[in-house]
Amino acid sequence: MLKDLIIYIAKSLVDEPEKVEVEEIAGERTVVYELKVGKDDIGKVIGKAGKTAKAIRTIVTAASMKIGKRAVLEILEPS
Amino acid sequence: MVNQGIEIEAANMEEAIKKGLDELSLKSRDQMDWEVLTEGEEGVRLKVRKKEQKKEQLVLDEINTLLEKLGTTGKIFIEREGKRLYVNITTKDMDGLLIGKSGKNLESFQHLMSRIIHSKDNSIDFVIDVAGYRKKKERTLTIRAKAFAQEVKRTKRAYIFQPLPPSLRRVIHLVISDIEGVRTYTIGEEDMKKVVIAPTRK
Repeated sequence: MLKDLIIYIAKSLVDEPEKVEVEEIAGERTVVYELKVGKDDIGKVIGKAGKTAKAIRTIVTAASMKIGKRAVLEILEPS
Repeated sequence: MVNQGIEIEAANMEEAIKKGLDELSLKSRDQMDWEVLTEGEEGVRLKVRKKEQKKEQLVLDEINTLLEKLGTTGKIFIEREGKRLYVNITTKDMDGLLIGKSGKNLESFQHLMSRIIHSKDNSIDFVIDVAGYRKKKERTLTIRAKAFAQEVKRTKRAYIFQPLPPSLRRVIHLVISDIEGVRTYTIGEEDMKKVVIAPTRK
């Protein structure tokens, strides 16, 4: 569910939705989500002074708290 | 964006409509208007365009989709306040999480929805509320701003507010603009912007 949420948000923000990828890495207590977007879209998911990235993390955290999990969102630099 | 429409050619009507939806990246046929240009043995030509969507409808759809992805549902109330749409959301079970400590999460929610909705139509001016939290905060801020204005006039010394999000700073600017003898301005950068109420210079 959280993965779907992250994919949905990222795809809504970028110019190249087909390049959005999210990898889910489940740990003992925490799930890490690695978000990858196209090279030219990284700014769109980070935003001015990291404001958009912060907003995405806040919403993901709220959703994870609702289901009693701990989630961390990492935004990866495009290679 | 001018909605001129595009021409589609296909073997039959069904395929033409499908192709049209595809070209316009729409999901269902009630989002599209079409006009039959020619129809015959050799195939169909259509002129298709995206249906003009009301701003309210777009906001409603986008918020509903996000709520669904968040694993909840909610009631959404939209009201026109001048040029701005006031959108109040009451969810089944996550109002508190969406508001956050002193409304921090609500600001993130607002920012995210603005980015999403403005990527589709950047002429929509809207403010998001959850369970009337922002309205209540705006009301208390109005009362405080008026009281501080009197204090500033009396003492001739400026009053500086705590850092506030744009929508709440706007409330103070508006309230003070109606009061004689005081003026407002903003200091600080990014997330640390503060409104100052100061006596008007003589």
